[in-house]
Amino acid sequence: MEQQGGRQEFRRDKALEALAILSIYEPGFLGGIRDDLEATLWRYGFALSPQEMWEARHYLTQNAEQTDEEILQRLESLEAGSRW
Amino acid sequence: MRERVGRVFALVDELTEELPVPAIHRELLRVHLGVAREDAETSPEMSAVQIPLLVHAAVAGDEKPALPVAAACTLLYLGADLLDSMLDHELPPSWHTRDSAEVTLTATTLLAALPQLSIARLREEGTPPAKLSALSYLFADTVLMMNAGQHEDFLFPNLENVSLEDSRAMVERKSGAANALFARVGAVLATEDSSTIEAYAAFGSCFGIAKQLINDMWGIWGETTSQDLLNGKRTFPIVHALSTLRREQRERLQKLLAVARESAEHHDEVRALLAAAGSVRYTALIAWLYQQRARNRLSAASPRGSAGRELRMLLDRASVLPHPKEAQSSV
Repeated sequence: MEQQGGRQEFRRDKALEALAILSIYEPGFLGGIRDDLEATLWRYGFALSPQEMWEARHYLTQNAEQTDEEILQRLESLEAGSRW
Repeated sequence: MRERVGRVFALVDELTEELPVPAIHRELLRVHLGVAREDAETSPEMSAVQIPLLVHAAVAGDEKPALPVAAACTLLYLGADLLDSMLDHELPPSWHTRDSAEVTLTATTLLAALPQLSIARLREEGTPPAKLSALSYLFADTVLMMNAGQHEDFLFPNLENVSLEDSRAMVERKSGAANALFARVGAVLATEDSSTIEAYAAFGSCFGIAKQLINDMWGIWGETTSQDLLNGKRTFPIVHALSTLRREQRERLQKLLAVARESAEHHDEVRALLAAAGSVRYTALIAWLYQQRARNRLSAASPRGSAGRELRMLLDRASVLPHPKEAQSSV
Protein backbone atom coordinates (compact mmCIF):
# COMPACT_ATOMS: atom_id res chain seq x y z
CA MET A 1 0.00 0.00 0.00
CA GLU A 2 2.76 2.43 -0.83
CA GLN A 3 2.23 5.71 -2.55
CA GLN A 4 4.22 4.96 -5.69
CA GLY A 5 2.38 4.08 -8.89
CA GLY A 6 2.33 0.81 -10.79
CA ARG A 7 2.04 -2.60 -9.16
CA GLN A 8 2.26 -1.32 -5.57
CA GLU A 9 -0.67 1.02 -6.10
CA PHE A 10 -2.68 -1.71 -7.83
CA ARG A 11 -2.02 -4.04 -4.88
CA ARG A 12 -2.99 -1.32 -2.38
CA ASP A 13 -6.22 -0.53 -4.22
CA LYS A 14 -7.17 -4.20 -4.57
CA ALA A 15 -6.52 -4.75 -0.86
CA LEU A 16 -8.64 -1.74 0.12
CA GLU A 17 -11.39 -2.84 -2.26
CA ALA A 18 -11.36 -6.29 -0.69
CA LEU A 19 -11.67 -4.68 2.75
CA ALA A 20 -14.59 -2.60 1.44
CA ILE A 21 -16.38 -5.69 0.17
CA LEU A 22 -15.81 -7.62 3.40
CA SER A 23 -16.97 -4.68 5.52
CA ILE A 24 -20.23 -4.51 3.54
CA TYR A 25 -21.08 -8.18 3.13
CA GLU A 26 -19.39 -10.14 5.91
CA PRO A 27 -21.26 -9.55 9.19
CA GLY A 28 -18.50 -11.02 11.38
CA PHE A 29 -15.78 -8.93 9.80
CA LEU A 30 -16.60 -5.54 11.33
CA GLY A 31 -17.06 -7.06 14.79
CA GLY A 32 -13.74 -8.87 14.40
CA ILE A 33 -11.78 -5.78 13.43
CA ARG A 34 -13.26 -3.87 16.37
CA ASP A 35 -11.99 -6.59 18.73
CA ASP A 36 -8.62 -7.32 17.13
CA LEU A 37 -7.79 -5.77 13.78
CA GLU A 38 -4.54 -7.60 13.09
CA ALA A 39 -5.84 -11.04 14.03
CA THR A 40 -9.03 -10.53 12.01
CA LEU A 41 -7.18 -9.38 8.89
CA TRP A 42 -4.82 -12.34 9.24
CA ARG A 43 -7.80 -14.72 9.60
CA TYR A 44 -9.30 -13.33 6.37
CA GLY A 45 -6.03 -13.90 4.52
CA PHE A 46 -4.45 -10.43 4.60
CA ALA A 47 -0.69 -10.58 5.18
CA LEU A 48 0.11 -6.89 5.59
CA SER A 49 3.29 -4.96 6.29
CA PRO A 50 3.24 -2.43 9.20
CA GLN A 51 2.63 0.42 6.72
CA GLU A 52 -0.19 -1.52 5.06
CA MET A 53 -1.67 -2.35 8.47
CA TRP A 54 -1.64 1.37 9.30
CA GLU A 55 -3.48 2.17 6.06
CA ALA A 56 -6.00 -0.61 6.64
CA ARG A 57 -6.66 0.65 10.19
CA HIS A 58 -7.01 4.23 8.92
CA TYR A 59 -9.34 3.10 6.14
CA LEU A 60 -11.54 0.92 8.33
CA THR A 61 -11.91 3.37 11.22
CA GLN A 62 -12.62 6.21 8.79
CA ASN A 63 -15.08 4.57 6.43
CA ALA A 64 -16.23 1.04 6.98
CA GLU A 65 -18.82 1.70 9.67
CA GLN A 66 -20.58 4.53 7.86
CA THR A 67 -24.27 3.75 7.44
CA ASP A 68 -26.23 4.37 4.24
CA GLU A 69 -28.11 7.16 6.02
CA GLU A 70 -24.87 8.92 7.00
CA ILE A 71 -23.53 8.62 3.45
CA LEU A 72 -26.75 9.92 1.88
CA GLN A 73 -26.88 12.83 4.35
CA ARG A 74 -23.39 13.78 3.21
CA LEU A 75 -24.48 13.48 -0.41
CA GLU A 76 -27.38 15.85 0.22
CA SER A 77 -25.13 18.37 1.91
CA LEU A 78 -22.73 18.57 -1.05
CA GLU A 79 -22.96 21.88 -2.79
CA ALA A 80 -24.08 21.84 -6.40
CA GLY A 81 -20.56 22.91 -7.39
CA SER A 82 -19.11 19.68 -6.10
CA ARG A 83 -21.03 17.90 -8.80
CA TRP A 84 -19.58 19.89 -11.73
CA MET B 1 -12.40 30.92 -7.52
CA ARG B 2 -15.20 33.19 -8.72
CA GLU B 3 -12.68 35.61 -10.22
CA ARG B 4 -11.29 32.80 -12.39
CA VAL B 5 -14.80 32.09 -13.65
CA GLY B 6 -15.08 35.75 -14.69
CA ARG B 7 -11.75 35.75 -16.55
CA VAL B 8 -12.34 32.45 -18.34
CA PHE B 9 -15.88 33.33 -19.44
CA ALA B 10 -14.71 36.77 -20.64
CA LEU B 11 -12.32 35.03 -23.05
CA VAL B 12 -15.01 32.52 -24.03
CA ASP B 13 -17.35 35.43 -24.88
CA GLU B 14 -14.62 37.17 -26.87
CA LEU B 15 -13.98 34.03 -28.94
CA THR B 16 -17.70 33.54 -29.54
CA GLU B 17 -18.19 37.11 -30.75
CA GLU B 18 -15.39 36.67 -33.32
CA LEU B 19 -16.92 33.56 -34.92
CA PRO B 20 -17.93 33.87 -38.58
CA VAL B 21 -21.32 32.21 -38.05
CA PRO B 22 -24.97 33.24 -38.71
CA ALA B 23 -26.53 35.49 -36.07
CA ILE B 24 -28.94 32.76 -34.88
CA HIS B 25 -26.05 30.37 -34.22
CA ARG B 26 -24.17 33.03 -32.24
CA GLU B 27 -27.35 33.79 -30.30
CA LEU B 28 -27.74 30.13 -29.30
CA LEU B 29 -24.12 30.08 -28.14
CA ARG B 30 -24.62 33.32 -26.19
CA VAL B 31 -27.71 32.03 -24.41
CA HIS B 32 -26.09 28.72 -23.50
CA LEU B 33 -22.85 30.34 -22.33
CA GLY B 34 -24.83 32.93 -20.34
CA VAL B 35 -26.68 30.21 -18.43
CA ALA B 36 -23.44 28.26 -17.86
CA ARG B 37 -21.71 31.40 -16.60
CA GLU B 38 -24.49 32.11 -14.10
CA ASP B 39 -24.26 28.52 -12.83
CA ALA B 40 -20.47 28.75 -12.59
CA GLU B 41 -20.64 32.04 -10.70
CA THR B 42 -22.99 30.43 -8.19
CA SER B 43 -20.84 27.28 -7.92
CA PRO B 44 -17.35 28.31 -9.05
CA GLU B 45 -15.71 24.91 -8.42
CA MET B 46 -16.19 23.98 -12.10
CA SER B 47 -13.19 21.75 -12.86
CA ALA B 48 -12.77 22.88 -16.46
CA VAL B 49 -12.24 26.47 -15.26
CA GLN B 50 -10.25 25.84 -12.08
CA ILE B 51 -7.99 22.87 -12.76
CA PRO B 52 -5.98 24.08 -15.79
CA LEU B 53 -5.27 27.41 -14.09
CA LEU B 54 -4.45 25.90 -10.69
CA VAL B 55 -2.21 23.19 -12.15
CA HIS B 56 -0.28 25.76 -14.18
CA ALA B 57 0.17 27.89 -11.07
CA ALA B 58 1.10 24.83 -9.00
CA VAL B 59 3.91 24.02 -11.45
CA ALA B 60 5.08 27.43 -12.67
CA GLY B 61 3.83 29.80 -9.94
CA ASP B 62 1.57 31.80 -12.29
CA GLU B 63 -1.86 30.97 -13.69
CA LYS B 64 -2.27 33.77 -16.25
CA PRO B 65 -0.56 32.02 -19.22
CA ALA B 66 -3.04 29.12 -18.91
CA LEU B 67 -6.13 31.28 -19.51
CA PRO B 68 -6.58 30.13 -23.18
CA VAL B 69 -6.33 26.44 -22.23
CA ALA B 70 -8.78 26.95 -19.36
CA ALA B 71 -11.20 28.59 -21.83
CA ALA B 72 -10.67 25.68 -24.26
CA CYS B 73 -11.38 23.15 -21.49
CA THR B 74 -14.50 25.05 -20.42
CA LEU B 75 -15.82 25.13 -24.00
CA LEU B 76 -15.16 21.43 -24.48
CA TYR B 77 -16.87 20.62 -21.19
CA LEU B 78 -19.92 22.77 -22.02
CA GLY B 79 -20.25 21.15 -25.45
CA ALA B 80 -20.06 17.64 -24.02
CA ASP B 81 -22.46 18.59 -21.23
CA LEU B 82 -24.97 19.97 -23.73
CA LEU B 83 -24.94 16.72 -25.73
CA ASP B 84 -25.18 14.69 -22.54
CA SER B 85 -28.16 16.75 -21.38
CA MET B 86 -29.88 16.22 -24.72
CA LEU B 87 -29.37 12.44 -24.56
CA ASP B 88 -30.60 12.35 -20.96
CA HIS B 89 -33.62 14.62 -21.60
CA GLU B 90 -32.25 17.11 -19.10
CA LEU B 91 -31.80 20.21 -21.26
CA PRO B 92 -32.10 23.51 -19.39
CA PRO B 93 -35.29 25.55 -20.02
CA SER B 94 -33.52 27.85 -22.50
CA TRP B 95 -33.42 24.88 -24.94
CA HIS B 96 -36.96 23.61 -24.51
CA THR B 97 -38.36 25.38 -27.57
CA ARG B 98 -35.38 24.47 -29.77
CA ASP B 99 -34.99 21.70 -32.28
CA SER B 100 -32.52 18.91 -31.44
CA ALA B 101 -30.57 19.79 -34.63
CA GLU B 102 -29.88 23.24 -33.16
CA VAL B 103 -28.67 21.67 -29.93
CA THR B 104 -26.34 19.37 -31.87
CA LEU B 105 -24.95 22.18 -34.02
CA THR B 106 -24.28 24.37 -30.97
CA ALA B 107 -22.62 21.49 -29.11
CA THR B 108 -20.43 20.76 -32.14
CA THR B 109 -19.19 24.36 -32.27
CA LEU B 110 -18.45 24.21 -28.53
CA LEU B 111 -16.72 20.85 -28.67
CA ALA B 112 -14.83 20.94 -31.93
CA ALA B 113 -14.24 24.50 -33.13
CA LEU B 114 -14.00 26.90 -30.20
CA PRO B 115 -11.42 24.98 -28.11
CA GLN B 116 -9.02 24.95 -31.08
CA LEU B 117 -9.51 28.69 -31.62
CA SER B 118 -8.77 29.30 -27.96
CA ILE B 119 -5.56 27.24 -28.13
CA ALA B 120 -4.52 29.26 -31.20
CA ARG B 121 -4.50 32.33 -28.92
CA LEU B 122 -1.40 30.89 -27.27
CA ARG B 123 0.57 31.62 -30.46
CA GLU B 124 0.28 35.33 -29.62
CA GLU B 125 1.90 34.57 -26.24
CA GLY B 126 4.89 32.98 -27.98
CA THR B 127 4.03 29.31 -27.36
CA PRO B 128 6.16 27.18 -29.75
CA PRO B 129 4.32 25.49 -32.69
CA ALA B 130 5.25 22.00 -31.43
CA LYS B 131 3.50 22.67 -28.10
CA LEU B 132 0.44 24.14 -29.84
CA SER B 133 0.23 21.04 -31.99
CA ALA B 134 0.59 18.78 -28.93
CA LEU B 135 -2.23 20.64 -27.16
CA SER B 136 -4.52 20.38 -30.21
CA TYR B 137 -3.85 16.66 -30.38
CA LEU B 138 -4.68 16.24 -26.68
CA PHE B 139 -8.06 17.89 -27.15
CA ALA B 140 -8.89 15.73 -30.20
CA ASP B 141 -7.79 12.57 -28.39
CA THR B 142 -9.90 13.45 -25.34
CA VAL B 143 -13.03 14.14 -27.40
CA LEU B 144 -12.63 10.68 -28.95
CA MET B 145 -12.24 9.07 -25.54
CA MET B 146 -15.22 10.95 -24.08
CA ASN B 147 -17.37 10.03 -27.08
CA ALA B 148 -16.44 6.37 -26.65
CA GLY B 149 -17.50 6.55 -22.98
CA GLN B 150 -20.67 8.44 -23.83
CA HIS B 151 -21.57 5.87 -26.48
CA GLU B 152 -21.09 3.02 -24.00
CA ASP B 153 -23.21 4.87 -21.45
CA PHE B 154 -25.91 5.15 -24.11
CA LEU B 155 -25.70 1.43 -25.01
CA PHE B 156 -25.53 -0.08 -21.52
CA PRO B 157 -29.31 -0.09 -20.85
CA ASN B 158 -29.79 -2.35 -23.88
CA LEU B 159 -27.08 -4.86 -22.93
CA GLU B 160 -27.88 -8.03 -21.01
CA ASN B 161 -24.79 -8.20 -18.82
CA VAL B 162 -22.76 -5.14 -17.90
CA SER B 163 -20.01 -5.92 -15.41
CA LEU B 164 -18.65 -3.59 -12.73
CA GLU B 165 -15.39 -3.48 -14.67
CA ASP B 166 -17.29 -2.40 -17.83
CA SER B 167 -19.02 0.28 -15.80
CA ARG B 168 -15.80 1.51 -14.25
CA ALA B 169 -14.04 1.58 -17.64
CA MET B 170 -16.93 3.61 -19.07
CA VAL B 171 -16.67 6.15 -16.23
CA GLU B 172 -12.90 6.35 -16.78
CA ARG B 173 -13.45 7.21 -20.44
CA LYS B 174 -16.46 9.48 -20.01
CA SER B 175 -15.40 11.53 -17.00
CA GLY B 176 -11.83 10.53 -16.17
CA ALA B 177 -10.58 11.53 -19.63
CA ALA B 178 -12.03 15.05 -19.47
CA ASN B 179 -10.58 15.83 -16.06
CA ALA B 180 -7.24 14.25 -17.01
CA LEU B 181 -7.16 16.69 -19.93
CA PHE B 182 -7.96 19.70 -17.70
CA ALA B 183 -4.98 18.89 -15.48
CA ARG B 184 -2.66 17.69 -18.24
CA VAL B 185 -2.94 20.82 -20.43
CA GLY B 186 -2.19 23.09 -17.47
CA ALA B 187 0.94 21.04 -16.79
CA VAL B 188 2.00 20.72 -20.46
CA LEU B 189 1.96 24.49 -20.78
CA ALA B 190 4.02 24.92 -17.61
CA THR B 191 6.72 22.26 -17.91
CA GLU B 192 8.53 19.80 -20.16
CA ASP B 193 8.93 17.31 -17.31
CA SER B 194 6.95 14.23 -18.35
CA SER B 195 6.71 12.72 -14.85
CA THR B 196 5.11 15.93 -13.52
CA ILE B 197 2.71 16.05 -16.48
CA GLU B 198 1.71 12.40 -16.00
CA ALA B 199 1.23 12.85 -12.24
CA TYR B 200 -1.16 15.75 -12.81
CA ALA B 201 -3.01 13.89 -15.58
CA ALA B 202 -3.46 10.87 -13.27
CA PHE B 203 -4.66 13.20 -10.50
CA GLY B 204 -7.23 14.70 -12.90
CA SER B 205 -8.43 11.31 -14.09
CA CYS B 206 -8.96 9.92 -10.56
CA PHE B 207 -10.60 13.16 -9.43
CA GLY B 208 -13.00 13.03 -12.39
CA ILE B 209 -13.92 9.40 -11.73
CA ALA B 210 -14.57 10.07 -8.02
CA LYS B 211 -16.84 12.99 -8.93
CA GLN B 212 -18.71 10.95 -11.54
CA LEU B 213 -19.41 8.17 -9.04
CA ILE B 214 -20.82 10.78 -6.65
CA ASN B 215 -22.90 12.17 -9.53
CA ASP B 216 -24.17 8.64 -10.14
CA MET B 217 -25.28 8.49 -6.49
CA TRP B 218 -26.88 11.92 -6.77
CA GLY B 219 -28.68 10.75 -9.94
CA ILE B 220 -30.52 8.13 -7.87
CA TRP B 221 -30.74 9.49 -4.32
CA GLY B 222 -30.39 13.24 -4.89
CA GLU B 223 -33.96 13.98 -5.88
CA THR B 224 -37.34 12.33 -5.23
CA THR B 225 -37.83 11.71 -8.94
CA SER B 226 -34.64 10.24 -10.33
CA GLN B 227 -33.95 11.37 -13.89
CA ASP B 228 -31.38 8.56 -14.25
CA LEU B 229 -34.07 5.97 -13.40
CA LEU B 230 -36.54 7.61 -15.79
CA ASN B 231 -33.84 7.48 -18.49
CA GLY B 232 -33.13 3.80 -17.78
CA LYS B 233 -29.45 4.59 -17.16
CA ARG B 234 -27.16 1.77 -15.99
CA THR B 235 -25.02 3.87 -13.66
CA PHE B 236 -22.43 2.39 -11.32
CA PRO B 237 -24.71 1.75 -8.28
CA ILE B 238 -27.25 -0.02 -10.49
CA VAL B 239 -24.63 -2.16 -12.20
CA HIS B 240 -23.27 -3.02 -8.76
CA ALA B 241 -26.70 -4.11 -7.49
CA LEU B 242 -27.41 -6.16 -10.64
CA SER B 243 -24.02 -7.88 -10.25
CA THR B 244 -24.48 -8.57 -6.53
CA LEU B 245 -28.10 -9.50 -5.90
CA ARG B 246 -29.12 -13.14 -6.01
CA ARG B 247 -31.38 -14.47 -8.72
CA GLU B 248 -34.88 -13.60 -7.46
CA GLN B 249 -33.92 -10.18 -6.14
CA ARG B 250 -31.98 -9.46 -9.30
CA GLU B 251 -35.01 -10.33 -11.43
CA ARG B 252 -37.16 -8.14 -9.22
CA LEU B 253 -34.72 -5.24 -9.64
CA GLN B 254 -34.73 -5.70 -13.42
CA LYS B 255 -38.54 -5.54 -13.47
CA LEU B 256 -38.56 -2.49 -11.20
CA LEU B 257 -35.96 -0.73 -13.38
CA ALA B 258 -38.23 -1.28 -16.38
CA VAL B 259 -41.29 0.24 -14.67
CA ALA B 260 -39.17 3.01 -13.11
CA ARG B 261 -38.70 4.36 -16.64
CA GLU B 262 -42.42 5.06 -16.89
CA SER B 263 -43.01 6.94 -13.63
CA ALA B 264 -41.41 7.84 -10.30
CA GLU B 265 -43.88 5.65 -8.43
CA HIS B 266 -41.42 2.78 -8.05
CA HIS B 267 -38.22 4.78 -7.57
CA ASP B 268 -38.18 4.25 -3.80
CA GLU B 269 -38.49 0.49 -4.30
CA VAL B 270 -35.47 0.57 -6.62
CA ARG B 271 -33.56 2.58 -3.99
CA ALA B 272 -34.47 0.05 -1.30
CA LEU B 273 -33.15 -2.84 -3.39
CA LEU B 274 -29.94 -0.95 -4.17
CA ALA B 275 -29.48 -0.32 -0.46
CA ALA B 276 -30.08 -4.02 0.27
CA ALA B 277 -27.37 -4.86 -2.27
CA GLY B 278 -24.88 -2.61 -0.42
CA SER B 279 -24.65 -0.34 -3.47
CA VAL B 280 -24.72 2.92 -1.48
CA ARG B 281 -21.68 2.01 0.59
CA TYR B 282 -19.88 0.25 -2.23
CA THR B 283 -20.17 3.23 -4.60
CA ALA B 284 -19.15 5.64 -1.83
CA LEU B 285 -16.12 3.50 -0.98
CA ILE B 286 -14.97 3.18 -4.60
CA ALA B 287 -15.34 6.97 -5.02
CA TRP B 288 -13.27 7.36 -1.85
CA LEU B 289 -10.57 5.04 -3.27
CA TYR B 290 -10.30 7.18 -6.40
CA GLN B 291 -10.15 10.29 -4.25
CA GLN B 292 -7.26 8.76 -2.28
CA ARG B 293 -5.50 7.81 -5.49
CA ALA B 294 -5.93 11.39 -6.77
CA ARG B 295 -4.50 12.64 -3.47
CA ASN B 296 -1.43 10.41 -3.86
CA ARG B 297 -0.89 11.54 -7.45
CA LEU B 298 -1.18 15.16 -6.44
CA SER B 299 1.38 14.64 -3.66
CA ALA B 300 3.72 13.00 -6.17
CA ALA B 301 3.48 16.13 -8.35
CA SER B 302 4.54 18.37 -5.40
CA PRO B 303 2.24 21.31 -6.19
CA ARG B 304 3.46 24.76 -5.15
CA GLY B 305 1.91 27.25 -2.74
CA SER B 306 -1.70 28.34 -2.62
CA ALA B 307 -2.54 26.63 -5.93
CA GLY B 308 -1.62 23.30 -4.35
CA ARG B 309 -3.82 24.06 -1.37
CA GLU B 310 -6.74 24.96 -3.64
CA LEU B 311 -6.33 21.74 -5.63
CA ARG B 312 -6.42 19.74 -2.37
CA MET B 313 -9.50 21.69 -1.31
CA LEU B 314 -11.30 20.82 -4.55
CA LEU B 315 -10.32 17.20 -4.03
CA ASP B 316 -11.66 17.18 -0.45
CA ARG B 317 -15.15 17.67 -1.88
CA ALA B 318 -14.96 14.58 -4.10
CA SER B 319 -16.17 12.18 -1.42
CA VAL B 320 -19.30 11.38 0.53
CA LEU B 321 -17.29 9.73 3.30
CA PRO B 322 -15.91 11.72 6.23
CA HIS B 323 -12.72 13.73 5.89
CA PRO B 324 -9.84 12.31 7.97
CA LYS B 325 -10.19 15.11 10.57
CA GLU B 326 -13.89 14.36 11.12
CA ALA B 327 -13.17 10.64 11.34
CA GLN B 328 -10.38 11.14 13.89
CA SER B 329 -12.57 13.31 16.07
CA SER B 330 -15.38 10.74 16.01
CA VAL B 331 -13.16 7.74 16.91
